Amino acid sequence: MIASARSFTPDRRLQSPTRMTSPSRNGRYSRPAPEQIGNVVAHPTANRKTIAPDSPQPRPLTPFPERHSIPFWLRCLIALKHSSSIVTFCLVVAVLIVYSSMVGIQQEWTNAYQKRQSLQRQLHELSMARAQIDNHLGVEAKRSNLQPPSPSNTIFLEPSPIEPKAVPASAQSSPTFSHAPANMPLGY
Amino acid sequence: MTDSKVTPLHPRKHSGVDPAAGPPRTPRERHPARTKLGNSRLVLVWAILVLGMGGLGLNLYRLQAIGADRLAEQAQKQQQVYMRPYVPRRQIVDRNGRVLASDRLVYALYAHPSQFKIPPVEVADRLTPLLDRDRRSLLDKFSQHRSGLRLAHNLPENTANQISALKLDGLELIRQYSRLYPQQELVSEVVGYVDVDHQGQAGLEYTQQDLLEPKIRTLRLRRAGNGALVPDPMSEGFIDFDDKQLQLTLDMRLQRVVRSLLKESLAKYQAKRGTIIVMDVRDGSLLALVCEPTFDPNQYFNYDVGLFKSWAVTDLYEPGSTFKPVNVAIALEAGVINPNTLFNDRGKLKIEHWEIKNHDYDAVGARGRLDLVRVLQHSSNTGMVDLVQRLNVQQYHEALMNLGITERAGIELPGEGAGQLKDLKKFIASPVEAATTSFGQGFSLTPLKLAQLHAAIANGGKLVRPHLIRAWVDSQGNPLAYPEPRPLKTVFSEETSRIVLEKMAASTRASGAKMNIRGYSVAGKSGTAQKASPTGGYYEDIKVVSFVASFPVNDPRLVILAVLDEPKGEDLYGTTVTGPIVRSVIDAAIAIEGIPPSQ
Repeated sequence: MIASARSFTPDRRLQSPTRMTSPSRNGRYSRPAPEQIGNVVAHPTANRKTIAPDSPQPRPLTPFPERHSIPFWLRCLIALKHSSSIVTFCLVVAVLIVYSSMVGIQQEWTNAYQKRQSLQRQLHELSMARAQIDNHLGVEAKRSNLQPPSPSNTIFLEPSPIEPKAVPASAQSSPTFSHAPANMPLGY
Repeated sequence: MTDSKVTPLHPRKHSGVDPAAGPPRTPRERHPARTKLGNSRLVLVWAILVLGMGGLGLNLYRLQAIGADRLAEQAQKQQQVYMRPYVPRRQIVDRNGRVLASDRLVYALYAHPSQFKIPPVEVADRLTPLLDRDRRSLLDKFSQHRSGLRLAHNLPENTANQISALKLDGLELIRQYSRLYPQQELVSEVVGYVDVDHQGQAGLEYTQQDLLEPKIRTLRLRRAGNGALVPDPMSEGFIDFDDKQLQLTLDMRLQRVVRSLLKESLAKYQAKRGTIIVMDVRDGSLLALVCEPTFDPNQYFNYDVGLFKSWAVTDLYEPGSTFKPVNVAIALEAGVINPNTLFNDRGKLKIEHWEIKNHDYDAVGARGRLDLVRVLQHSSNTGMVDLVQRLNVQQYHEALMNLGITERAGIELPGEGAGQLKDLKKFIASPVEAATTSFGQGFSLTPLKLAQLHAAIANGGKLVRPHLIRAWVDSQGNPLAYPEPRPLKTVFSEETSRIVLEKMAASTRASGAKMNIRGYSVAGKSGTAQKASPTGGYYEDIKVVSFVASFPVNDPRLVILAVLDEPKGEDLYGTTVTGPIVRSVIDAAIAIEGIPPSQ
């Protein structure tokens, strides 16, 4: 709209009789010859102030909306309309994205929830199966006369004593060990 | 863009530039007609728009102000669903996480013959291979009623899927949970069972019913147009998965060995019943609790009701000589004897008209003066009478009451029995009462209570509460909640309990009980008690044999009590019948619980 408002500006220039006579000043327009100016019947000023008083016959004049400079408030409104339409477009796009993602997330949630339920059920069944197998093994072990555990078939290992001096010793040995790979191969 | 700006300046062809068209009318001339039409059109459009807007406004008012409540209610009805999700009953696991009881998803199949679209014969033909029932029985069933016939319950999911794949009208599959005890009879009298209505009827299933059965909450959810549940708004707790498990102190590996040993002994001696208790003396947690005969909780309906209890907890018996170390501790604690006191074994004595004699009096006669170790080693009844007679009778009775003989030990199983001891008046009335109590007769308690008393001797004098529940844990075994701390009562001094334990260990070493395990010192005591007759007096040949042992003596960990009720055969003594059982249990416990040797 702003662009179209601007398009009226050269028209206003044309309304000035003085400028009509010096068309070369506005080289951007392919201006008609002075005698053809009378053809610009739509020009409102042309209706009121004849440019060529020696015109042979009055040309039919069509009304043309008067062009005044656009008031500031209208320009503001036009700008507002323009910007608001961009904002509206953005908002519509955003709403569509949000809505579709919401629907998508809900769908995804439902699927994930059902999957979770099914996995939980499977976990439950697996633990049951494990317990049944465990019991079965116990019963079979009894049937095949396997000996129950006893001290005679158990080995108790003494825990190695924790020596406080062992820590600095290993700390000292570690740098020497870090040099070792340079001299000996690691693959064995 | 520039060109387009210019275009309006070009003459319009329709504006009548053609001179042949006659004198054109001025705009003012033709405007009125157009305006008239334009105005009416404009008014019409305006009116339509205004009417439309007005209508919309009115409708908005109707929806938002007048019918708001009704519509909100209607929407709620359509979108909100109230769900009562059926949560499975919580699992019971042992101390190592082995599942002892758990719910599983099963299906019940109902038939409604009135809704069959195909002949019943055809339905029966299709169902026969899946239900493991013959065609005839199905057809008979179909002819009984027109609707609501239960064809099967406890169908596994696979079978249920196959049945629903048949897509037959008139069949209904109902999903439900069924309790399964994967360890079968291994731990049945402790865990108990649930009936068809999922109500615990025995054991921990009964006492922990409220905790095992999760609260079924009504959840409010929103349902989308396609029927899917929408996560917003979601009731709190919808996502939470109840994976709480009741963890017991029992160890299934030990329980299996113990049950197997007891089963063998019961068969060998044709005993009426038997029990073995393995308890941690430090905190009273039970590692094994076995009663025989027992039942399979998966098929509880095939067993006698009397088997559903753990008789080690519910039934009273006269402990016999296994109670002697407790009396020694009482006397030591009262200060009437010291570790080196000698007691007079007269072999036989008469109190009022009752004759009291040693079990081996006929063979050995009177032993004379005996120290504590020998009194325990020979299980001298008369020596114990001498010991108890050094105590004031009232003082002795008070000490027994202080041990909680007549109180329940406080285990989480149903129907626990409280011991019986004559009241002070009757106890004082006849000196024979204190005399018989000295060797464990004339009063009764549960095997569990006796194990608790021996645990007190082993752990430095603390009366720990026997218990089966370790904690509530999640599915990964992480503890969520522990039971409330159990009160500890100190009944003996550490010195007293140490002396008694050492004397017991010495007597065990010296006696015939084969308790010599390399690296482990065992403090044991056998008991052979005559059973009391309901008509008064004691049966001559009906006995209860038992053996109790605590080990290792230097750092006691476990107390083991084995009791066999009414064994039959020759040489029926606690040492010969139950002693070997306890020895085998100790062997297994050392290996399974990893109890290191002391020497």
